[in-house]
Amino acid sequence: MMLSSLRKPRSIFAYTLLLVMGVVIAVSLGSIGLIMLRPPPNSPPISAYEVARLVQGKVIAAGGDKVHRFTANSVPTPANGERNSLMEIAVSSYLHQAPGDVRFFQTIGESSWSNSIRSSLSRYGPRIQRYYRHELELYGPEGQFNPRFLGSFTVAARQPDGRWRVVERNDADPFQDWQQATVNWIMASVLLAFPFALLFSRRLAKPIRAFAHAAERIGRNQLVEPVKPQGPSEIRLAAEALNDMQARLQRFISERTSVVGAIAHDLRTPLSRLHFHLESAPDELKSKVAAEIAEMEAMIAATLEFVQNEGRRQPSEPIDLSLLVEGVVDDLTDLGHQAELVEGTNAVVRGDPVLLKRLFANLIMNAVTYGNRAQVWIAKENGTAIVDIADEGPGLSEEDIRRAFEPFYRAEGSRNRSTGGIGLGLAIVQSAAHAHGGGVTLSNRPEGGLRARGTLPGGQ
Amino acid sequence: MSGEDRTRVLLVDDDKSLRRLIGEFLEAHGFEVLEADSGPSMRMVLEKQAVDLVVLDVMMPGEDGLSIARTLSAQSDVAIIMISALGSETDRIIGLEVGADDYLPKPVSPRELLARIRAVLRRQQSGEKEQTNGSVYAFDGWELDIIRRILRDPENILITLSEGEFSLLRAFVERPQRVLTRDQLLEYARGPDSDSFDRAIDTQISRLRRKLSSRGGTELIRTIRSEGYMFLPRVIRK
Repeated sequence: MMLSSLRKPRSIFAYTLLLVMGVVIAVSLGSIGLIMLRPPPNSPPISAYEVARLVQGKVIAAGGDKVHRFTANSVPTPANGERNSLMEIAVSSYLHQAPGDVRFFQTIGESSWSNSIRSSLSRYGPRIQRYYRHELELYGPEGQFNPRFLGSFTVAARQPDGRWRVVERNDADPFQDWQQATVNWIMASVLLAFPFALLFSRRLAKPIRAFAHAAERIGRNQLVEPVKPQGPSEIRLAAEALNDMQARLQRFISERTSVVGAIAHDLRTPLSRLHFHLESAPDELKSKVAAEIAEMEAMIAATLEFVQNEGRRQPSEPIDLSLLVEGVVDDLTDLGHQAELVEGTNAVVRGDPVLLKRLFANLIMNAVTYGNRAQVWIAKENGTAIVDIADEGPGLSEEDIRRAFEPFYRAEGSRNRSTGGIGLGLAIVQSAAHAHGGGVTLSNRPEGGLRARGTLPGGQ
Repeated sequence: MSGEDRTRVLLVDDDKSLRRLIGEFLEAHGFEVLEADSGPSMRMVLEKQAVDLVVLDVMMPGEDGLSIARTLSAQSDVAIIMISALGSETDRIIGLEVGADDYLPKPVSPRELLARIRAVLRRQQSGEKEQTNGSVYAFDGWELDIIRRILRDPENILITLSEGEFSLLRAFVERPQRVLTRDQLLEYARGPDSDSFDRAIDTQISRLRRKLSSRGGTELIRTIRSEGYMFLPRVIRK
């Protein structure tokens, strides 16, 4: 019945209320049952008069079967015993002895864990003591002071020969029994409530976790199936909102992709025409204009790539990172640049091969262009692959390092168009690294030159 | 390629002036040029006369170049070169997968276009046309996809090669279990017009071998003393 009603959409509010109130009600019912059904304490208290009779070796009406009598040479001192002077006064008067010749200890009795918790608390608590003291004041002068006692005790009376007659009574305090049962019940109810709490929490957490997972993947630009609305109504609402948001995002990206495509077409078609117009031009003009065309094309390509990468679907494949970086280094070496893989460690990462290649190609190309020479190290540390690229250039100022990843930012001195690009290289590097859950940092090396460090998770 | 026996090229592009410019350029280099401004008009031209090669713009209003290429390559084995303003890796792959023989990004330079047209025609004449049917070569647990330019090792991990190594490996898998001399490798990997740098190819072969053996373990390329190299495993085209 409970399970079938759980399948209906409920709010987190209802879930929580149901769980908390259900457990509270179940535990309370159990406690009430315990109080109503358990027999009341059935062992009657023993009065001081009866204690005196026990010391004298006489029979008492009830509870006299749990006693142990013996004679000792000295005053016994029971473990965990606590002297009760009121009982001593009353018992000694019944025995017609001086109060100093009688010792009365209330004892713990059968040791149990709940008793040991209580051992520090006097069973003859202050309230009862006050009550009996009052009784002593009122009835004492009339010789009718007769306090009652529950539970275990040891009483001793001095005999004329100087030895002590001892009576031990060992009887579990009925209240202790009852307390023990209550404590047991509370522990049992906690254990009983646990599977229900587990079930409820899991039902509650599952859709939230699925939801969070989907949101995180959308954040990394991955293709995400619409989130299935399930679980509590609040989560259903959020899942629907997330699906709407994702659909809107997709629409936005596809609109942008078509706009970008149109711009690319409209810019590159005239450039193509320019190329063919040039065919009949003199060679000197031809090479100059061809260089201008190449530069414009490079700018268009960089801008388009930056825009397209932002909305790109990320395929995720296992890639040998060291061979990927090595391939980039080899490409540059084949073109006559100074690039070198100093140390390579086998590292397999998951990611988009095109984007990762672009990432390291940009970093290594920067080192070669601005720092003459690129040296590359690949290392693994705690499940992270680290690629260090060092150059021998002048390094960068703090300001440049801070702003280097901003789109269209160019370090002062690299505004020269022949080397400067349009300031998107590092922006592409950073967005590619972030898309893979990694990062990229720049720092000046103590021995001179700049060091770029790319980190990617999952280096195996 | 002269006189009556001239190669016939059909240009399909919605931009009239670019079409004319390319046309004039190709005519100047000895081609017979036909023009069309859309898919339907291309089909009308093709009904009247056969052509050797179609140069197709991807972005056109109405039916786009990709779907034109798909139907065209399914119906005939005319060579197709696609020209696209988008020029990204994904667009190149899609273009080749729908059946184009080559793919050029805009802005197209005249020299580049001419070289590509000649290369495609040469490949077609030597009977290597149906390469798009099976773009994946499998050998010894490895897979090489020549359109996607992807190499996977026996554990299915993606291996990236440099451009030079990739074209070398492609030359090897297309001619397995045969002794290939340095000159042959250079020609197959770089094309006949390439400048010969003999030593670079030795470096690249040794790099390629090292990269392959770092993931596979078995010897794939063997040096045949004073002759050249041989690709050892059996290659299956998928």
